[in-house]
Amino acid sequence: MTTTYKIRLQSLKKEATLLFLAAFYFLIATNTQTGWLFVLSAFLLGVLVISWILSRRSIHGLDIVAKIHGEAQRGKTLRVGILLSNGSPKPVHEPRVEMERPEWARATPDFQWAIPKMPPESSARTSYSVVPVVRGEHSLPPLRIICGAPFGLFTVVKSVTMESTLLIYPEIEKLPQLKSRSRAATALGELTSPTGRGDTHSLRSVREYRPGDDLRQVHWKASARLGPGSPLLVREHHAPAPNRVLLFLDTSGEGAEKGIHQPFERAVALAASVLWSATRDGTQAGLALRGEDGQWSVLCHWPQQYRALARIQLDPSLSPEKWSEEAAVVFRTSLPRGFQTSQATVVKGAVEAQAVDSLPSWINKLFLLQDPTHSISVSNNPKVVRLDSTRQGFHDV
Amino acid sequence: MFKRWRAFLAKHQAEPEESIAYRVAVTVLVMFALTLTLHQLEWPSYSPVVLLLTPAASVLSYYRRASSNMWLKVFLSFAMLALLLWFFMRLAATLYDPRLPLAELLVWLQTLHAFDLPAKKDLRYTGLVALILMAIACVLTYSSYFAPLLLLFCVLFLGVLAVDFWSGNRTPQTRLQLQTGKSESGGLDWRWLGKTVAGTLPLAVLGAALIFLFMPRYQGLKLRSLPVNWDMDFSLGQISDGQIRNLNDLSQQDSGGKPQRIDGDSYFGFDSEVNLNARGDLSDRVVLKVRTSNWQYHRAVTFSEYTGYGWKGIPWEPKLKTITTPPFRFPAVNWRDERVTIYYAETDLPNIVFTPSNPYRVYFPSNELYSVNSFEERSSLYANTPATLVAPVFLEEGVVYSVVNQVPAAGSRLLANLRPRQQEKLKAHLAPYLQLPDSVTERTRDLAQKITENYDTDWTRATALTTHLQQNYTYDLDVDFYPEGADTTDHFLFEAKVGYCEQFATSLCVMARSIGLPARYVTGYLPGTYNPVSGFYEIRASDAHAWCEIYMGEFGWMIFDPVPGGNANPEVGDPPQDRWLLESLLEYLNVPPSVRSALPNLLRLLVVLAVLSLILALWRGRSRSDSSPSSKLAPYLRKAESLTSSRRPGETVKRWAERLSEHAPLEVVARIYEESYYRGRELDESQESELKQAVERLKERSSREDA
Repeated sequence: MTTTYKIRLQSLKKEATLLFLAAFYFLIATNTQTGWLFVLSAFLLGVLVISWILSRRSIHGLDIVAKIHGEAQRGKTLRVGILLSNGSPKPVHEPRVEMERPEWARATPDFQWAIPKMPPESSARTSYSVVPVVRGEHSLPPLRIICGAPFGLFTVVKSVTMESTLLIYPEIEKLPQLKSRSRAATALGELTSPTGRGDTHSLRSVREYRPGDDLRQVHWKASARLGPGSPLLVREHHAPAPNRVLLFLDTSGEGAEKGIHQPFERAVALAASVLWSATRDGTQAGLALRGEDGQWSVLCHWPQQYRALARIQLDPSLSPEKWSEEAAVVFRTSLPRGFQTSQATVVKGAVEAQAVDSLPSWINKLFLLQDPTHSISVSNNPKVVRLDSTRQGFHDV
Repeated sequence: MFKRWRAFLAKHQAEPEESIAYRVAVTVLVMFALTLTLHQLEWPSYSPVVLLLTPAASVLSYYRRASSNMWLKVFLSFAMLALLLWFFMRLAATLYDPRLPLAELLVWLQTLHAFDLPAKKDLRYTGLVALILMAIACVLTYSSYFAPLLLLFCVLFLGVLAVDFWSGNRTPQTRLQLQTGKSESGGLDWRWLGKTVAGTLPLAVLGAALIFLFMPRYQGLKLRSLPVNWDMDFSLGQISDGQIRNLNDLSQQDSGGKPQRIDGDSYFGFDSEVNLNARGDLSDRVVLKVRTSNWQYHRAVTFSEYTGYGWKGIPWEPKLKTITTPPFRFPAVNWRDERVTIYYAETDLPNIVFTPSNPYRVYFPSNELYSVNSFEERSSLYANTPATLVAPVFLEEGVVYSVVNQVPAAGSRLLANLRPRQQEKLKAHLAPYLQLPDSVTERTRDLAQKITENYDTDWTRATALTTHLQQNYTYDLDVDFYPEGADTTDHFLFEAKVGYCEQFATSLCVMARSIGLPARYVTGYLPGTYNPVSGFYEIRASDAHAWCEIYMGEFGWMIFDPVPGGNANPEVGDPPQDRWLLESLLEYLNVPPSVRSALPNLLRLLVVLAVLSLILALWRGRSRSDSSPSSKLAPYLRKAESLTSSRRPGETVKRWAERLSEHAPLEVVARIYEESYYRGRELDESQESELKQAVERLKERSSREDA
């Protein structure tokens, strides 16, 4: 944490007005020889001086710590716990803690917290909830302890900056179920469903129940056959046949408008959701990404994939053709041994200025996230699955 | 149009102020200031309306704080326009004193403003108006009882500032942390308010006192505010048709120079005749308060006829001047420097209008004034300035009047070379001021001749006489009666050689006349004592004085005061002026001049000491921060925290190291910290090297973990 102190004027109007009045009264007193006006002028100056001196000591001993609770995921409320402590032997009156709304969070009001009295050696807690809307590595804005006691004319500001950064991950959403019969559901189902899981034909044997076993795997019929007082039996299946998912995230952003590109954000969310679903189901999942430095990486483990997806950005200097060329090279030459397949899946956030024409043969499916109101030139290729980027969940356009 | 205006108002409507405590505090403050101002305005007929409307309007504005109040704003706008018109009409009638219409305008503006106080900024404007009203009350008052009232206002003002600060933390956007276990609802904590005000008031007053004492004092009074209580009802009625009337009936006509004992407040020189054989002690009671930027004498009565044992007034009849609106105008001497002097009668005084020299505008609360002019007839050759101004009524306690006078912008060098050109033409007019009775002895005339034989101009000869008297005679208030029938001047100059202002002034006048210098005897008051707190020169009864005025051609009548230790020519050169209010205060408190004269050096010494203390404090702070173990340890501690984990609030270094026991090098950091910080020892080289190594090890571990 970095801490800086500074004294600032609370509202320039109040102090400036008092100073102006003091000077004006002095002028009038001199020109009318009114002694009481000299006294009033001196009193106003005295109040300003005393306020300045006392305000310097007003937050002596106050310290603040901020801690983030919960996972920092885009669109998911994040709670920032704030602990204000007074380590001095004197009480502190009317301190205030402020933090500006983080730029990466949804428009919530700035954080303002006032404490009427902080007794000696005491602490006070509160929390501030923000909803992150921008993925990536961010930091909390500085927390400011402000106190203007006794009159609020001058305030002391202790600014505490948290040096640790915060990684905002993409949102993970539930994939559409097969029964919804949409094209998106079918395509995603094909992509993520491993073979064998939940298939009663893959039953290998039954064994006695052990604490921690999934109750859904209890073989009630077999257990019942053994009679009362017998231990429960649970199913044991054959290991599911290995399935592989290889995703390429298209980061070509040539022609995209500046700012947050919603289709791309939804594409990242789809990639994260697919990879998480696959990982959870025991499917081998790989993610091929082109970094900001132009280097490609193929990530095979979920934590790495999730971190990379948190940081990935649309590259406005990268054309779709160049991305496609490079991706093809990576597909042919740089895949790890376990991922060498004949085809891969591409996830892309549609950029209005770009056209999606014929797809190369190594692409099995292209999930294209697009705003339905925008006209995007897309070839009528059965490999292209168009999804609505304006809605939560993944739905056909 | 109204719809658009209503929309405009709604768009620009500030957030309403919800705090009742803040509203009450501001209303109390402004009510206090209003009451004081109305008191200084001598309770005008509309006072009850103002005092009832203001709190009622404040209550109304609280209940309508969230409304746009469009129609109310329309009404208030028209009312304020009408008020402005009324103000200009009042101002036109009393251009010489704009303070009263200005104060009344502000009182009514505040009353109207109280109807529309929805937001905090409006309440702050009200607080500002209270400060301005208080300033007006300060300007209007001339009473000493104002001090406790001003102090009470300061207490209320600090209270309002504290409540303003308190309410600033209670906006709708601010989350308020209430203490658990207390039935607190976020209301004003009166104990906190009381403690804040009680704790800061002495400091603010002390700070104000220090600032006040070191406030520079400049020649001011450039603003032409010429108060006169025109509406004053004189209870005693007209008592004079140009004759001087002394309240104590001290008429000494035909006293014949008999010994006379007179004590009290009323000086025997404020009459139509002065008995130079009168003795007595005047009290120290304040009789006049004078607001002026200059240290100056205040004239009362001019006498031209010396009888040998006393003085009689000017022989010609007083002339009646009648006006409908102030001021009374008198001939100007066309000097460039003008001064304003405001007189406040603190006790009942004779019907004499006290003025500085050469008054040419007098704002006096009467339609009539009698002027005894310096010369019998008006002539284009000279300025026939008033020698004595007589009011038709007594100067009762509470009378306020103002005088604009002219002062010669001449230095002593210019005057020394002055050669009167029109003296011969004025000879007939000046004759009464050259008159001497037969009682004046030859040795008196010879002495005057002898003193002035080496000087050739009027100014140098008059100055030589004055200096001779100042240097060779003794001033004493306790003087024996002079023998009956003796010429006062002769007895003073050659026999007694001791006297007080009457004898000194008389002797100078007689000697000046004996060598052909037109001279006259004037009574009045010395400048008095400047009270730096109230800003008034306080003139006491014992400040009554007599001096001589000698005619200096184109510069007219100039004051010569021959009393030892006094200012011989108070109108020439720069008048004594304190540079700091502290000097004035010390003078007011009768601190010896030796101490006062040491003040500039004392101030210089204080400034040098303050600068040295500051340098010492800075040097000590720097050396402490450079050499203290904690300052040397801090970078290592910060680095170790950044490489591992930050310390928790209140966690000691040792506990922190124990918590992070997997980081072994932290033990080294904790050990050295305890050795140096708690034992107050500075870090030695080996400890620093150990710390560096520990940090390096932490770095290595951190980079391994990252990899």
